Amino acid sequence: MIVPPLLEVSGLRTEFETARGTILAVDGVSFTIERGEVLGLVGESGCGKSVTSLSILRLVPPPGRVAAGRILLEGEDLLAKDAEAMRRVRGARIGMVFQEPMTSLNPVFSIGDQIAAAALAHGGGRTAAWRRAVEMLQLVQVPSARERVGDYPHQLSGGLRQRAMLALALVSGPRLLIADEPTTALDVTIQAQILDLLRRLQAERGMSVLMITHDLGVVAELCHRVAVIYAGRIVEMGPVARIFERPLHPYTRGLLRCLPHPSRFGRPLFSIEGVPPDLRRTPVGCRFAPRCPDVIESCRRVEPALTEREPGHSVACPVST
Amino acid sequence: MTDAAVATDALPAPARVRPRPSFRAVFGITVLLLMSASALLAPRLAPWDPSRQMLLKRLRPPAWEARGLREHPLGTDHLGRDILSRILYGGRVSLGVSLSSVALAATLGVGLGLSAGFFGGRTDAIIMRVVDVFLAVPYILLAMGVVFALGPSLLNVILVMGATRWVQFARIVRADVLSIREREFVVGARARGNRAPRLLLRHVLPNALTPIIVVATLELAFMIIYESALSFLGLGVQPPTPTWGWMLADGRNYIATAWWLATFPGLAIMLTVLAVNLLGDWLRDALDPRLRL
Amino acid sequence: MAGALLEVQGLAKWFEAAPGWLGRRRRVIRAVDGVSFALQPGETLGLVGESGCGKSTTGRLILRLIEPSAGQIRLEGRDLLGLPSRELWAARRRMQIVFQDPFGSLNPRMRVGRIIAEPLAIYGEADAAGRSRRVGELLELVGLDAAYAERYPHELSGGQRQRIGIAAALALAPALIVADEPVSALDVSVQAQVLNLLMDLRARLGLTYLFISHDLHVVLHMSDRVAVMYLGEIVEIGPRDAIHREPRHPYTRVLLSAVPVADPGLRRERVVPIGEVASPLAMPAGCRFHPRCPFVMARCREEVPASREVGAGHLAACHLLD
Repeated sequence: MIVPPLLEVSGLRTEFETARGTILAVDGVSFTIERGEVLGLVGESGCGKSVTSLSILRLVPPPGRVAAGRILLEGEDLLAKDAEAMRRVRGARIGMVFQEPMTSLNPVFSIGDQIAAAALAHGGGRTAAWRRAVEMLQLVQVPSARERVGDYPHQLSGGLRQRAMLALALVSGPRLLIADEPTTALDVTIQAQILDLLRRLQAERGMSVLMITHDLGVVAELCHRVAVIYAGRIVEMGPVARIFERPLHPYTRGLLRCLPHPSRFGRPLFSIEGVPPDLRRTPVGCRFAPRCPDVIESCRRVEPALTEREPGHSVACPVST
Repeated sequence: MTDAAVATDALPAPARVRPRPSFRAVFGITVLLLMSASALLAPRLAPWDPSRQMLLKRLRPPAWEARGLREHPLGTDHLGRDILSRILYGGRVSLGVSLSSVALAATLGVGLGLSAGFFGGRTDAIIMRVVDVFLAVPYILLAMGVVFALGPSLLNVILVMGATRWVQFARIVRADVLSIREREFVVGARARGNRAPRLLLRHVLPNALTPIIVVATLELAFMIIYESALSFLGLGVQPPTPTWGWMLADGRNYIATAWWLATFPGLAIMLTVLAVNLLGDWLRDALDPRLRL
Repeated sequence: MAGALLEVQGLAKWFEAAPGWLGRRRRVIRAVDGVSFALQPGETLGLVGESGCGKSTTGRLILRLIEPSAGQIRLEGRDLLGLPSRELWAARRRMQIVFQDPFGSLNPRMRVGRIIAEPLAIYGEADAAGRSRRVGELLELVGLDAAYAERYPHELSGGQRQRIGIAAALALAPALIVADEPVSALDVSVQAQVLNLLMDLRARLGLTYLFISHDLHVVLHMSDRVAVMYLGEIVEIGPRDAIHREPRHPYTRVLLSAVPVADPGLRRERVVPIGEVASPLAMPAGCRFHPRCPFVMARCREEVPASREVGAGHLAACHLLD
């Protein structure tokens, strides 16, 4: 019996109506996340990765809206749910961790209060909820959890806040965790600790994770599969080892080559020419064509579809070998 | 090598569209222009001498009412003086005094606020204590005291109003400067040779304009009312020079019976204040290069 | 050290955490606490560390944009701290700074051309026509079209703004440039462009860089020598390859281990620190890193380690090296 994927996104389109035109932030994004899998969604600023995660959670701020697509969580279409049903999904079935915990945590409540409140929402009394809060803080390795449970967010360091965020996200035992740049604002040694923690929790709980980041290093450390997103579309997707070893899409290749790497310290870096396209104009042909070193004529006319080249490895590019 | 770096990092040149003046701006400017023009041209426009008492025609309503007279479009007051003429002449005082005192308050306040915010330390401490003193004393009492001492005259009124309201500018400018001076472009400007005077004038002040404009428009509106209040209390410009404040004061007793005495000066004040506020909003946005696109 | 462009000795900056009451002891933050190094002309020294280590403050102290609490700074042999203000102003021509934040580092109300030309005007380097010409040259030098002079900063992308910042820093043809996180706020592909530009300019103009960043790989990429900072001190300094391949201080090893590498095949040493960074208000006794050090010994809690030479031009301050 084939187990269906935990999350299935098909043809997601999210747009923003602004005074200066409609911005197509996400244009036909499709991917799946299996149970227990960590999928990385990687791209540079403005590529649509954050909007994708917000679309799944149906938290896209106006003037944005999900214009088309299907988002199946364990077979149920999230886009078909009403506000109340969606609210129950968030937290209980999908946990969220964002980049800046100071704005995601309520500054006027202690972290214990906030975690306990989430625990309460799923039954049990106050004492049980409070005990659960301490357990969660211990789970995320907050030192002296019992003493720190009454701390306020501003009393915690960045790393501890992020751990508290994780505790809050996981308290209801969600099957899917969406983490949007959770370590970007942290020092690198703290980031390493949080990534370790994420890896451990994910393995222990068999949780699926959608990891959104711009940092290919984080993807290499944490993810099983990765989807590279550019100008609102996925250009390449596949297992992490394969993508890093043999990237097929020129953009992926460019990204990997422009990073400082021990093998080439001090030598000029490869750089991708140009700038990302203006998402207000629906482009003709491949969105990366203006910047692509391997571009051919047909690239400018026909938008390449994401096709599977090798099992599990898809690319949206006719040129790549 | 530079060629590789000379990426076509090219943002297409944004279309420089001149923004259509908003309704607010048009309204504000028009009203203010009209007010200023009529104030300046009052001697030409006013049908009557504003101080001329025509007791036989006292308390006549505006022309469109039953007992109104065509030669007094807005009616007459309790001494038979033409309301329209008094409004026109009154505008001279109200607008002139307000503008002058705002200018004075702004100059004083911005200057001191810049110094306090930028130099910090003792300068800041001293200036802020002075501000505290001024804030502690109710400005009306302060004005009363000064006017008693120096005598009520146009110049004294301007001085008093400017000298009591500068604190509004000082506080807000200082607060803004405290954050601006830490911004990297200020540090960079220092590194590139800017010394304090130039730094303040070329880098800090232009970026503190927004609150200054906002406060200036609010203060302009306030000054008009302030001047009216002073006149109302008998401390402002003395009769027979008409001011909108005096007219309000006089008309107070006749609200029930002769509403037009107080209503028209009140409307004049309201319109001016509204126009100034709207204009200030627009000006603040227009001066910000970031909003031009 | 003969011929050094920049020499820094015992540089320190202490901030008061809370204003002291009469008689009550003030709490002091030792943001920079005894930093010493020398920069040869044409060299790039990388200064790397995490937040709160004092690297950015060090950069600003060197330019006297913040006044040091103690220490010595010699630029081209001249003592910067003893200079009267007029001469300090003149000395600024030799040392410039490029900032991290492309949004905050340019005056939003000034056109790009004026920003770049301003130092020329202040130092009376050229007349209006000359300045205009020089602005064009500088823009071209950083890879931008001369027409950009008429734009406002907000009309440009992050990468373009950084180039403007670099152009403005180069206007007076300085010898030393302090680059304070110059690429940290940029996308990876733009980062590569700006790094390439910095390397190119360095070669063409014979610039000396103090390259400050929290991104270890970027620092390793750009620098000839690297200094690692922790809580206000340099814990290790040495040639780039030595630091990269044979780090001696535990913190350097922790840093190298922690940086995620975009290469699943690359094996590297895992050195895991314990817990969080200490608060600069409550500095640990002895070695500042000892509460987090996975190799801590009893001695580390009491005695401050001295800096020891561990290789050619390679120093580290750790008791383990005895």
